[in-house]
Amino acid sequence: MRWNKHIVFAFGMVFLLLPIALLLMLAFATEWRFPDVLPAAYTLDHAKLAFSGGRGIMSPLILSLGIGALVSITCVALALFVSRMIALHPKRNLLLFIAYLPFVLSPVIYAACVNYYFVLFGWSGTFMGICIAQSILIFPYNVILFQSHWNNSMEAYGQLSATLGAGKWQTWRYVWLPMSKQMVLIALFQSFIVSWFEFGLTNFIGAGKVQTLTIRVYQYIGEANIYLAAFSSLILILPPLVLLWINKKFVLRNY
Amino acid sequence: MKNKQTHILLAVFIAITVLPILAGFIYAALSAFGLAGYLGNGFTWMYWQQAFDMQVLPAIGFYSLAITCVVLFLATIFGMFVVLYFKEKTQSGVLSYLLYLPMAIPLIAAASLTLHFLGNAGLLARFAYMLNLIESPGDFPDMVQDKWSIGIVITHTIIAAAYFSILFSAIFKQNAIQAYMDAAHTLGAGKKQVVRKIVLPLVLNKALPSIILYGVFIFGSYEVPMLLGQQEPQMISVSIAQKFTRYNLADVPVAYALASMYTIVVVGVLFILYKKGKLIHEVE
Amino acid sequence: MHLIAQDIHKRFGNEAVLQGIHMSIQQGHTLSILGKSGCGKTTLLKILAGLIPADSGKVLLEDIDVTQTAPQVRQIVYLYQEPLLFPHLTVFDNIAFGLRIRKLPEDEVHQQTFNMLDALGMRMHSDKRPSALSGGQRQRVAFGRAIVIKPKVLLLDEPFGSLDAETRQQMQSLFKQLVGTYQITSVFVTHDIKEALLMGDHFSFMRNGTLTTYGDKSQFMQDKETGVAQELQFWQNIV
Repeated sequence: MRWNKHIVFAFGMVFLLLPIALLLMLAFATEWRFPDVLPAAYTLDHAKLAFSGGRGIMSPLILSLGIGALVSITCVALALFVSRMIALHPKRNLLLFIAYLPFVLSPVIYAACVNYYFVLFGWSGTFMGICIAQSILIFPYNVILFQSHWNNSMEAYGQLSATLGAGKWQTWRYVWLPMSKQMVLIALFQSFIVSWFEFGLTNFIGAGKVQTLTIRVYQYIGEANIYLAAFSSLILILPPLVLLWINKKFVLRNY
Repeated sequence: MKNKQTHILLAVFIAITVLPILAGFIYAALSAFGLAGYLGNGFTWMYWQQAFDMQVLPAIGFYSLAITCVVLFLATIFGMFVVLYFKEKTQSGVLSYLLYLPMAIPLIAAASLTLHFLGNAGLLARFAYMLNLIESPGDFPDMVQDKWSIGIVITHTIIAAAYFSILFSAIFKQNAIQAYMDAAHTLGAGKKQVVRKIVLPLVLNKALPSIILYGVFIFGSYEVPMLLGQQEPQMISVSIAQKFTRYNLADVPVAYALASMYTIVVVGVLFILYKKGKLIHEVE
Repeated sequence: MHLIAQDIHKRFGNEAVLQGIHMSIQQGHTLSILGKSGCGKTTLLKILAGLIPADSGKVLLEDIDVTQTAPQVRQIVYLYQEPLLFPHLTVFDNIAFGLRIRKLPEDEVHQQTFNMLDALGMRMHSDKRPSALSGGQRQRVAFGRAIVIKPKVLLLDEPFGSLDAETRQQMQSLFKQLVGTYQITSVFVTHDIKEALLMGDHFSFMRNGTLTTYGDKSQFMQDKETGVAQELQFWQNIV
């Protein structure tokens, strides 16, 4: 590699790392006023404050984890079965076209349109309501994600298992589910991250009563509480960073 | 037996996917025609007219579309540059991981980071001060919540460029583009010709559906323009969401008219992709 | 007769894939079906196995009509060109799959599986994953997995199609040997003339959804359609 290529490479890496570096500095800085390029001093005060209860991030954190876990597990489990049905359905392409819709519509506009029903059923501003609202985005996303999984080879394994004497449920239990492990894991993590990051729809349906971590970050930004906003953003990017470290596939969303 | 299972699973799919969209769209359209909601006092074109009277199409539609096109254009160039310049480095090693970083940051945090970088008292302004280019934060040019939407475009472009780099890199590898490039070189094509006649058509053709879907995503994006956009004009998601929170009841049906139009446009774009067979790839 | 197919018809859309297939096999015999790809061989085998329904016609197994019987209770095993070993199971667990599905006691499962591994010459590989095996070894395990449950009929769809010439030869003789030892009734589908002659006790030729069955080997060889005569002529000319 030529030397100028090294420089471009280094510049690119710094550029990509800069946002996280800035987040880290902000999260642990005190008195970082204009025109200082670097903070005058560092502190753990914001971290302590964030975890001290009250207007901190403890309950939003737990709430976001809970919603993410519940929504991703439910949606992946349902989509695993539904996606196979769709893969074999004569109208497969039409069904997939429909599955793409919630996934490309702006979540906040989608939320505005369905909000009437959420208020009507008493789901607005409730934990259940947020889970249902996020599921109408994340379930179809998984249906699409699983499409390439149900290929001819998977069907051949199913047929082979049947001729060896396995009933439908035995085939699921001993063949298809174990063979889907990797795919299910990817789907779970991606779904969790979509839920974990979700803001527009959650904020709308939550109606100020459900405070997830992204909503709390938004509030901190609105209050110009930059240090707490940075610290909670740092917590927010932790799961995707850890997953990225384990496997790149866990993070990428397919637009 | 088999049919029963299929029907149950199909019912689940329809209940979670088809029903909410359909019900939401019907309610939005009815509200916009004055047939539902608090202001549902009978059929009227009024709210649709208001939506157009305020010059919604240029102010919201074209503005959102312009932002989308600029971002897609810039991100495609950047993505293509990264892949052509770094080649294998985008497939493995440090860079291949770092390219995912912009996507590991939620949009709300990304937008607030842009404020810290490009704002009047932001990091860039501080460097400018250090280099004696400006004397006070006020001297620094507006790059967030600004007339030219620079903040929105930069934020979206960085994330999109990273995504496109990964996308193009995968296409490069899967379709053995390098082999075509080598073949073209041996046939006497120069570097620029190879890029123009081989790489761009091959890669862009494969990537087009993903690029268009990403465009739909930017078109309807919310967090970034909410924090980094100015009061007027606004991108469509921000505009609609604000009409619901401004407590002016008369705005709500207008917002529903906009939401209906937006939905029709998005469904239309998706339908064209679907009809052209670009949305769903056959599974071998 | 052990297995009988009567007047099987099958269409996919406008295409008539099978047009009145009649066939029968005696217990312990192998029927070779010679045919080019796309002649309907795979469809016929899948109908015999119960994996897809026929439009009309009957399948009789030991004089019982099994046309409507689900594949998992038919005891007819269909083997693909690909060995399709379950990637999440070891060689041992792959072979034991059908026995465990039948809920046999575990000590019996072990005994039968190890016997099969010995017959295949694969005992030392029993703990390996399929990905660690060669193509020929995988096909051996696939055979073992099918034969260990003592199926009433074994259907083979170009089982050696993806193997190199030498491995193919080894597998052919191993198959002959297993069929003899376990008294397996089988249908062997191939597009390879030599293989068809080598593997079968009886011979059929399939073309455009129709099946011609021959009284003996010489009739099969003399029919110009099968191409056997042509092949023979070629070699004679060379010499």
